Amino acid sequence: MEPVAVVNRALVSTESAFVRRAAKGDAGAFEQLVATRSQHAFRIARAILGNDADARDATQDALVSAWRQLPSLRDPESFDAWLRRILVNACQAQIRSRRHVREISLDDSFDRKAPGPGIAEQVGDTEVLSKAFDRLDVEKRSILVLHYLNHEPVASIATDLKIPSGTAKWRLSEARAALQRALTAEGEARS
Amino acid sequence: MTARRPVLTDSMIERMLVERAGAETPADLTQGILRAAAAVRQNRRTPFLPALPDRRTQVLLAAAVVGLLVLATALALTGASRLFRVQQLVVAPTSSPTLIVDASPSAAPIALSTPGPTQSALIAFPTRPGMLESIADFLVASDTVGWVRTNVPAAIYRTTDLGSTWTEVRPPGWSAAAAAAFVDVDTMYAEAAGTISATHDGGVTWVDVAVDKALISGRADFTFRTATDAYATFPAEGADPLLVYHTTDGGRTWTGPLAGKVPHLEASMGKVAGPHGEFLLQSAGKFPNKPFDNRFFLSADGGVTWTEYTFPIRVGSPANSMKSVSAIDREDNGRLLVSIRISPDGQLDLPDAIYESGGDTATWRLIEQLPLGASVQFLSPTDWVRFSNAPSAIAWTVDAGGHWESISPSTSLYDFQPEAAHQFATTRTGWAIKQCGFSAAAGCTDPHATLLFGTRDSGASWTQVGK
Repeated sequence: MEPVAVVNRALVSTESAFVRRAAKGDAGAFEQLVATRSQHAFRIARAILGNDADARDATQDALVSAWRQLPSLRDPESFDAWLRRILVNACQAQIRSRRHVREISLDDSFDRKAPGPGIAEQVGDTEVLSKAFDRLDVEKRSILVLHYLNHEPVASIATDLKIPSGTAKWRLSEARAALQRALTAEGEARS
Repeated sequence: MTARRPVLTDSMIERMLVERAGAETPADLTQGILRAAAAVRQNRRTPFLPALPDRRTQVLLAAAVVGLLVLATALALTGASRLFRVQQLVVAPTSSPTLIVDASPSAAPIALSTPGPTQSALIAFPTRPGMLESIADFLVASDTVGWVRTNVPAAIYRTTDLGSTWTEVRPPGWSAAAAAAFVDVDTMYAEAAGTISATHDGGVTWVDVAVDKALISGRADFTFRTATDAYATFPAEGADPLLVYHTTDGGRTWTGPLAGKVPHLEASMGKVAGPHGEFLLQSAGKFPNKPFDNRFFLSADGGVTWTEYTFPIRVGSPANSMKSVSAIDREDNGRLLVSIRISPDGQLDLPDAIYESGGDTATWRLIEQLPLGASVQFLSPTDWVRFSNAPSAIAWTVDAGGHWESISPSTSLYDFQPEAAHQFATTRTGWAIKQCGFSAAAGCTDPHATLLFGTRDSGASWTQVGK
């Protein structure tokens, strides 16, 4: 066995131990899991939801739900995939929750950001694409984030989402096509 | 004109997502999660929601409640009401059934006194360039009066001529991090560093009261039954997830804190406002290996007590679908009107539908299914406004959906923000926000800037406020 693999296995084993301890109610172990994962989870949620406030809520909801549901997790080594599923669901719940409150969140979704490049330079750039991305449902956003931001291969996404690999591949393709359509629609709306 | 058809590449997607993900994580994110988890740990020890009592017990409880109220009232008249003011809050009967989740205050109930009102001079000025480009919150309160909160600069503005001129309103201790809630034409509440302030004259005078900062964590969230009957809900530092203060005199005195709870649903807590007050809301979500949870919970008292409802299940609202409450009106007589959004497996939206409760928490009568993509705002039990930005359409009714007047706006609403950012005060007057984007016509130089639009003709025409 390659030494690297041994190291990785040791790491996985340590992580699994934390998960097992946390599942038994060890708050210290759970703190360790949170400390090593909250930032990454927040970035995924931020990419899916597009603003700090919702991402923060979704991240907190996901990790608290994980804490609540940990005793039911059968395979500690699948903790990260399991947590990603919970996070995606929390993002979904967050979107639906936020859509229905009259109060506008005090997040930065309407913030005036620092002045950027001129209009001509921005057309076709990330701003337009980001707005097109906002038009996708959360499932499509999630699969794109897992693949393009998290750099997860299709097989890993399939494991995360508990779907066959072929289905994951198809869904990824559909999501990308939907983003292309949304981007085209954005272009039409602006022309 | 030929539409642009930009080519999508993998690197474009990756770059966009990296930008969306941001470079910084909130400094207190981990601590917030651990605090919330600690609260869950406390709650794990006891079942969260007690079982509903049987009919006979309910009757006995109701009699006991009435007795307590009579006793409390009598004691109040004799000046011995200090303790019972809180009990009145907890057990005040409502027309709809309420589950008493936790009626015990987490600390000795106190009536907080207030110093004399502070006063500030307000000078009206026309809309300043850039003033409305970072709107964080707003309320269009009547045909003439509106409030706006902005992030840059951190400010609160009020207009009495629908946006021609403004006054800057500054609650005591106001800062960018403070909480603020607009209630009606004259009333708003704010909270900064544990001091709760209220004005009932458009920001000229304020009353402010300090709560125990050691008990709270984070900003207040306000919910209102009326302009003078309000709840301030704080995330708590202790075992209970929420601490709730209550005022019935417009913020001059507050009682509390009471222990607030959060129903055990896999969903975030939100707030939904209607003509008869605001509610904290928890709608069920969908989590792995669990069936759809077709329930939602409402709290009319800042999270102290919650009423559990079951979503309607029917064709067009299947059991296996995400559901949430998008609009609400709960009248004092118990009539509950809700607009429910349905999304099969969270993917493709079905049309929203308006339901009226059948007198209990699980029976519903379908009033109307809305066009796909439309949302409704209840202005009163009979006056409703329907809004859709794709396709652009607005309709209103003054007879609870009996007849709708449809308007085809002269301006496309395509770029208007979703429903959280459009709002009507009456069937004539409304405001909506859109992001500047790349609209050269609007003079946009910053695509992230907000534009505030208003209508005075039921949505037929929209003009930029302050232009």
